[in-house]
Amino acid sequence: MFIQQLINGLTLGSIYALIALGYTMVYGVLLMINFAHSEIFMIGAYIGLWALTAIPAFASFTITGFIITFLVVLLFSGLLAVSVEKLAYKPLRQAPRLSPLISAIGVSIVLQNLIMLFVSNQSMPLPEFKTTRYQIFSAEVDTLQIFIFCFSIALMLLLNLFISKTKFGKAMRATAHSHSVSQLMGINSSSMIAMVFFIGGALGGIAGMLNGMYYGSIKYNMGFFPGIKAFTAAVLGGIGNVKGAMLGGFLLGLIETFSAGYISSQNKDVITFCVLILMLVFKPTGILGENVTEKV
Amino acid sequence: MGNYLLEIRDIYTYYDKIAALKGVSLNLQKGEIVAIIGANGAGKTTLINTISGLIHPAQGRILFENNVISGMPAYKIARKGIVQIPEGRKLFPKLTVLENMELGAFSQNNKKEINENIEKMYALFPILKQRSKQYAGTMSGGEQQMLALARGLMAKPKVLLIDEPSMGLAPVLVEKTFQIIKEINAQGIAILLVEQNAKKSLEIASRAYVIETGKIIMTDNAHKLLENDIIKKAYLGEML
Ligand SMILES: Nc1ncnc2c1ncn2[C@@H]1O[C@H](COP(=O)(O)OP(=O)(O)O)[C@@H](O)[C@H]1O
Ligand SMILES: [Mg+2]
Repeated sequence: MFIQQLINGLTLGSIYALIALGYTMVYGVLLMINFAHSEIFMIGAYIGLWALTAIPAFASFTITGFIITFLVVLLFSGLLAVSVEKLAYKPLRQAPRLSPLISAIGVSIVLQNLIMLFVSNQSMPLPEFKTTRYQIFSAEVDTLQIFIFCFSIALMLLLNLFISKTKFGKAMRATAHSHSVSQLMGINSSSMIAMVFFIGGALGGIAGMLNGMYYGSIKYNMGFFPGIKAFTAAVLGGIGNVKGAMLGGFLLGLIETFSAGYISSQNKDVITFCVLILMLVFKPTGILGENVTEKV
Repeated sequence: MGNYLLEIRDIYTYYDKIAALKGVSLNLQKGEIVAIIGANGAGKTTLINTISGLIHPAQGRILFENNVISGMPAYKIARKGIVQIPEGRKLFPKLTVLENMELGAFSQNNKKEINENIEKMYALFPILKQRSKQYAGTMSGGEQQMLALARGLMAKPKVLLIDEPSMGLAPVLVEKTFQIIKEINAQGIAILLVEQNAKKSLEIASRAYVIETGKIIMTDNAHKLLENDIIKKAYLGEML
């Protein structure tokens, strides 16, 4: 039981962590909660489905087809997030802080309805994936779970490397600290913001695709709960902090599966949010929120 | 007219409806140090920020190498070689000393040259080499000022706009800061120096402007201003 919950928790946590990164990075540069992020997650899954099925060559599930599918998801989710920023948030840059928040909620509703109207209001199955199951003591793990975990970890390591080592990663951190001072360095803060939306959107879209693969189907409202939980994860880890979002994502996944396994699967969400509330009461800045070293 | 490196023509800058600059004109020639002196709240930082493009003037023009730059976004002005060293240093506190310097060189593309410049900065400010891996925010005020200067120089500026470099520093460090500014200038970088420490800045400047409530009220050679009775009384704190 313990190992099984651990495996399930890490799988779920990978997905939460990927989504949480988008929330936390956008918060880092704009001090804004991008409520439309959960819809990028949802649409990422639809883009993945489209890429897997619409183009026959991919449907055969070759490794190449798979890689191309993920690249398509990455690119289009990223671009969608950038377009949302340009159309719905950028014009409100000088407006009171509540305005872009309301705009984000609006975008979220619009995107859900677009999928509902023009794609489907029913859940749609993703093509069946051939997986192998392995036995670890009394627990089972399948190839899909291993893939989700390893792929997410790889993406996170890559992101960390980008943020800490590259010129644009450093410029992104500078922009998060101050738009005006970073401009004095010749950094175009609008481009940096667009870059953050691209990266966050791409990761969110990939998480949506992984989520769809894991549960086998996708629906226009699939972003709601994972979105809220990933946002919770970001807060748990310390909003604005990249490593915190990763940590928070895994923690939240684990808390959820363990409370489902050991306490009550019906009340797992209640328990999860109780943990969040306790956390906020005793350490409002989140786990890594204070000695922030990697605030983006 | 027309041969200035930087020329400011009759600019007005507002915060909401309140004018902070009311028709300021000044110029800077190649190789000069020009000081701007004025009391707290006179509009010195506003002037510097207007030149940098962080705030846009409502009226008037700013020319750099005879091209209009007013209205351009700040990052483009910085890339042209007009580099500001802001009041209060404004380092990136959660980035290391080295990363701060690298960001100063953001507009530079030649890796080899950037690394050479970092070495030059280490030679000029040995403390930065010792502290290169440390977060900028953990350094002392004097060290931070050195880093702010180094970060600015990493951009290979043609004009440096330096805002209150001696603010909050111990007297020894004030001395050292002005010394370094003189050295930087000797390498051919023109400097617009804003200071409340009027005496020190007039001593290293060739010319100066006196700003009062958003207006230039006087301009002259620096050594003449040092001798000027009004200046002595109002800005040099001397009893007559
Ligand atoms: N961001 C701002 N918003 C509104 N007023 C400002 C702002 N910054 C400065 N001011 C006002 O503009 C005037 C000039 O300020 P400043 O340029 O900072 O002066 P100095 O640098 O000479 O001390 C002051 O009256 C100040 O109160
Ligand atoms: Mg000032």
